[in-house]
Amino acid sequence: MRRVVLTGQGAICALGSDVPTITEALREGRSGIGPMAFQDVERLSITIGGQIKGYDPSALFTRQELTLYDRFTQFALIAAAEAMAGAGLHFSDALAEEAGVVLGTAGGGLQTQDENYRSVYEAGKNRVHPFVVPRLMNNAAASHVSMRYNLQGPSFTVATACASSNHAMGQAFNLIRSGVSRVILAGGSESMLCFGGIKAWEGLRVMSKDGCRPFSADRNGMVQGEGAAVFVLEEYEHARARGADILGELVGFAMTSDASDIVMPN
Amino acid sequence: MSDTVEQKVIQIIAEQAVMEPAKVDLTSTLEDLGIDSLGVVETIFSIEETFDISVPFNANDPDSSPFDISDVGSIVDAVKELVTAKAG
Repeated sequence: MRRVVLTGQGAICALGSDVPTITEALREGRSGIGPMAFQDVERLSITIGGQIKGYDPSALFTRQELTLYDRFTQFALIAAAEAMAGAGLHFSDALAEEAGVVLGTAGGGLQTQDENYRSVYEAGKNRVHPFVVPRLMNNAAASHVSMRYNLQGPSFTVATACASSNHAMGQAFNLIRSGVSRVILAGGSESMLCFGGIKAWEGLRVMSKDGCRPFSADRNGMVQGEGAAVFVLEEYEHARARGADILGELVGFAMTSDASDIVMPN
Repeated sequence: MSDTVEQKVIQIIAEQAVMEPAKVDLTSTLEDLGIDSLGVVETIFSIEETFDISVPFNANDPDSSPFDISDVGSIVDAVKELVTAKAG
């Protein structure tokens, strides 16, 4: 069995748009939760979330790119860029042919769905942009990461609700451990903070109106955030041979399911 | 009106090709301008939105579509025809 190490990491969320900023905020105990801003938010009873503020996609992506990138894809690419810069890897030849990406997501391109359902149902338009399907599909983020970094090996998306990214990491881990590939980018991306996304969650009646307090006696629900995190998982000998900075080692992974209830873990 | 159609179509194509409209020639093909198959579909969408028309175009088989996209001039002519048909 091969050993699997982490040689790059990247993230974006309400606390910041890179790992050092987010790490500092976590260390300081800062909260990224606050009032959300998007169309029709006033029609919701849940109005707080971990929304990324001051975000300007046009500063990071070209107009052509943005026609194909849902917000969840944009976040994945931002996190992947930081992870790749940290790892110092470039993919070509044999390494490119086996390198891959496994990302988790639950909602996929939900913002694209929301905008376009709004357009055809509410605004009564009879035409949507031709790239709605490639924008909204759950594997869009993983596919764009693969194209940006020339990852020609396994490229796919894992969807297991809140466990998606964790399971994506597990799949990546196994791909390297078993010798399928020497490098896999893994992590996940989510962006459900739009009217339809939050309205659906309101329906479940599990959302808190005032804050996120896990394990606290006065906890009254969950709060949604958005963002992405991507790690570079690399085969240990490969990382060592190139003198990579090793951030940590993954030593095991297992998956189970309680096979009992669709919303309530037992 | 027809000149306006031509200008608007050239504007749409120029935007897809990321170049100045003045550099788009009526004899250029979309391929010459570096517009790939996804760009073609986006161009058709922009034309439909701009002129509020429905363009008969099948991306699976562009050559057999009634809408002739062989060069910029043919697209302009086809759009003029659709706009005229719509005006009745």
